[in-house]
Amino acid sequence: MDELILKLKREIIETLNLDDMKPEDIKDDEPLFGDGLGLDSIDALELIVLMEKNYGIKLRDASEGKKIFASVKVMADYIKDNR
Amino acid sequence: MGNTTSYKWKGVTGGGNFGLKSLFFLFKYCDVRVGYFFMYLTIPFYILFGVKVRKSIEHYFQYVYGFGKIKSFFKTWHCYNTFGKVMLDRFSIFSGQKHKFKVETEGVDLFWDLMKSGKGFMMVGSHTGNFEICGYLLHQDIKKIYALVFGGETQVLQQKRFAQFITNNIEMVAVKDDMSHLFVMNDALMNGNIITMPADRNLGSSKSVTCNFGKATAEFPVGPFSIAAIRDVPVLAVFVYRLKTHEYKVIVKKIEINSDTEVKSAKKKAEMLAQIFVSELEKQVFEFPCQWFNFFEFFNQK
Repeated sequence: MDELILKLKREIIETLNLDDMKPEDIKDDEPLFGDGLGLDSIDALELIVLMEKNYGIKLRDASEGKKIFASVKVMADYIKDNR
Repeated sequence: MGNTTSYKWKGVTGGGNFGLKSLFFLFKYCDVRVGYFFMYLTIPFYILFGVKVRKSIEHYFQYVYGFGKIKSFFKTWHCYNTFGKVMLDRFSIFSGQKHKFKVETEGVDLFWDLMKSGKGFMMVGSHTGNFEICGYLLHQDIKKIYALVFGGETQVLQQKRFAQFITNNIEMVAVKDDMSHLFVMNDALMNGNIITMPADRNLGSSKSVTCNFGKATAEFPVGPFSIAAIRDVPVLAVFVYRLKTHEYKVIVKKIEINSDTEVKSAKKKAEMLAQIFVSELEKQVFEFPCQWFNFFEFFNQK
């Protein structure tokens, strides 16, 4: 699980071009949007595509998406249960 | 170019339901030129009392073209007249007068070529002329077009729009806080359909790039081009200008990065596409200077 979280953090940094960030800068439970990492709607689209391309998970429901992108840990849990 | 910054537009479109309903009623029975006549009478009030908006357009003429204050004032008056006519033309179309309007086209083959392909694509517009009018005047039933709009407009306007759009295979998608529009857009492009949205005003995402524009600079949104870059779909820019009464021109341009240029990240690709779009928009605006309708302080003096 820890490996998946680390992998996800690396992928988020690479996909979103967060050049000045390292995986350890992102806390497992930190919110990705709003006050946490401060991502916005375009970043959300990048994450939707990331889930699809890297893990074969197609997200179709907005309310589901909002819950899944709550934090890296929640994302990892969802990937573990659904891929 | 390349500095990602934030700016906001409040997303408010004016006009109460009673006023809008009156216009729809008027144009059912009268030619749009009757509306122009009454519109001319209202312009001095907008000029006198809408100081903030007027100043923003005067600044556009001063900063972008380097005009003096007096010339900018008269150009602003002309801009208001043209905007009024464009708005009334829109209501005339809503009221069933679509058949009276002629459309001259340039580069529309680009649109039909992509229509025939199985791939989805983006169609970006701007607040010049009347982008929305091409949605009413260009008919097609090959692909579904999803038009991204602000949810803040009046119900009457949305209903009239919907009634016109539905016959042309266009569905409106409101930008919402729950980001549901993103899922609709993603699905649309994956299924080979079309997304259309303005690319000269912030809609949803706050990411923007600083671009040169005439003698000024301004923040242009990256969002529309990020979507295209992420999903790797082609982008067309569509400009629609009013030529004269009952006559419009639709110009379609392909927004693409030179094939010799290797761009690895979606972010960089999006910024480059935004810059190419802005260069094209600049050319267009210089040809139709009084059809720029972004009525807020958009440009910075260099």
